[in-house]
Amino acid sequence: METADYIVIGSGCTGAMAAQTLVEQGVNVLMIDGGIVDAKYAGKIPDDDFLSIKKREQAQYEYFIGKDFEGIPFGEVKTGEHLTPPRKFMIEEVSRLMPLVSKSFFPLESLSLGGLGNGWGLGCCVFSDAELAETGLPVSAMRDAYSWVAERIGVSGSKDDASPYTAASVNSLMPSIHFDSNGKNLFENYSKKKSKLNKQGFYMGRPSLALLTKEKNGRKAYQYKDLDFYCDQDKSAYRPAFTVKELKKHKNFEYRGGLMVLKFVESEEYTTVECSAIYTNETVFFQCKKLIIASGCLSTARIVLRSFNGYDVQLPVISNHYSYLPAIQPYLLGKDTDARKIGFAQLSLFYDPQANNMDVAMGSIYSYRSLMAFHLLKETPMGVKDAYRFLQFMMPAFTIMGLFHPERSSKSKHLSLHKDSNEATGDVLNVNYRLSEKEEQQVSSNEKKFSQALRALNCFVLKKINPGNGSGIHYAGTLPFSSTNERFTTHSNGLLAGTKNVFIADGSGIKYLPGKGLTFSLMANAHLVAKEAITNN
Amino acid sequence: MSELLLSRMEMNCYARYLLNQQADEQSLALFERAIQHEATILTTKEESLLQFMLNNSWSVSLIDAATGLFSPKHKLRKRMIIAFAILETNPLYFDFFHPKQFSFFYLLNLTMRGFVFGIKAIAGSIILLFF
Repeated sequence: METADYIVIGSGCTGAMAAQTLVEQGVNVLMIDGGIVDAKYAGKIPDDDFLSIKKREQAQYEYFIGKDFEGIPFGEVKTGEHLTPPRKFMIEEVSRLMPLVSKSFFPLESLSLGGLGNGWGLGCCVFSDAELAETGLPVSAMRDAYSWVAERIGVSGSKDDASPYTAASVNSLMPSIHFDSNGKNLFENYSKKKSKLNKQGFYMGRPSLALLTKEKNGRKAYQYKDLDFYCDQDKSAYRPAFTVKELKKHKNFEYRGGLMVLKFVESEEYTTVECSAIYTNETVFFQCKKLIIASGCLSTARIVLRSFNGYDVQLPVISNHYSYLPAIQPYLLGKDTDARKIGFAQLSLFYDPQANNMDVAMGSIYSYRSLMAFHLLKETPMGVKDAYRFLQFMMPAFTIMGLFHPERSSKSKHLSLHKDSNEATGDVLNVNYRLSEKEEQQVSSNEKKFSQALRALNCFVLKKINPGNGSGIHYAGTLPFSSTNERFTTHSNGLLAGTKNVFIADGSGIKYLPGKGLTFSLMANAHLVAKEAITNN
Repeated sequence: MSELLLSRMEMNCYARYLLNQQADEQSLALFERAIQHEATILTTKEESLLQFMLNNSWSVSLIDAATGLFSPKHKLRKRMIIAFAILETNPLYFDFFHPKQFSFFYLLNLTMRGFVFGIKAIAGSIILLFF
């Protein structure tokens, strides 16, 4: 049986951060991971910009609509359907190996190298002290950890009205990316009307993004190719797979892909980890002195429930409610869209009605082009030909706001693992997720307020789209932080209650989800948990 | 009529309707493969409607308008969107799909088209009643 001092489960944003901290401290680390990579489209997309590819490349259909047409939504839209063909590898094998049954919760999970980090929108937000206290994360340690993470991954941003909510306060911030016409017009309108909007609790600014605008560690600055949903040859957008690749150069780091961890057993001397090979179903065991689980909240819940034989036990779960507000800026109607379009968020609009940086809701503002017109056509109540004429006119003015709402735990949001011999893992995760009437009212009220704020900026919302619970891809709270040492809770230092050497480095402990980008805070926490795992004896 | 020939006729019908052009070989081959997806396989009634559309090119815009407004999940609409996606990702038709500058008065043109669309949708829905 293979042994290591430290085993890290998962190579996503949290696993990569935890592993890096451990490796930098000089301990021996083994990372166990699903490790699925894009074998279908990697290297196929030419190193060019979107319009040049559209104009010249005969084989562009392969990556824009998919070799097997997987980029064309044939039926009902499910979570993950929006992934472009080169990103579909993120969800490969998930339905087979991570079975989940729910009528009310539609999450995205991954067995890929880099996990859900492959599709991260790169938004880096910091939680306020009040938010950190309610999540259960250590306030002052997190402040330092944010800077550590920013230094490692590279963050660009600006100091502006949004700074209290974004990572603009961290050290070594690179300048923000440039605007395209869409973002520029909206920000100019905000500058004219900011005092009125600020009085209403709205603050707009440039988002902090894990996107380089200067070269760093062999990664290039962002090149404005508008292929952000397909590829990133310059490696300007941070992906955890970069960290794993760098770690592989260290002698004290080893990576084992193609494995899915099923459970662990802790004994006095060692913790034994049981895995299943993804393609052969062969069972493989590893031993370690300390185990750090960073496989993503839902997957971690499966592992912990199996390990403690906690079948049918209910655990809480929380996920930021997410809505889309497609909108139009009439000023830009029919304008020739600039060659330099950007797929990442260009602006963030925060709604902080109490002006106390608590229970904030965040809207991220995007342009639309490289996702192609055919995706939008099916949403229009018109014939294809007429709809496209309208879309051509509207496209330069088309603005999309993705809206995250804050979320708390409640009795109507829970999951449980049930035995099921029909499934490859012998069990299935069942999730029930219902918002209370009050929460639904709050979501609706936030959507209304954001629509009004956009209207004040001469941007008019066409429709409100609620893709369903779990679509926000922020999951937390399954093993909530607690000092009681009760089973299925986590100590504030990341130690799983009832164990001596098993740590949780993903969002499982977080008890409250602010309506902001979560990933940056999870990475900071993973760094702290890894440090704690080294010092905790 | 063979399925291959039928799929080529269908794709060409969409290409002529959408772009006023014939589809190239690549688009024809891709369309033939794409419509093998179970979500787009036609029932007997839908096949009859397709035959009607292929035999009466004037009806394409009416059926397109009617399915868009009254039957957005209609399989012929899905197949037309697939055809659109295939053409949109072909450099041969780049000029058609390239972003363009429009005068604000184009909005008047679009408003006009909106009215015409309504009439086409009603006329098309009458055709759909027969299938």
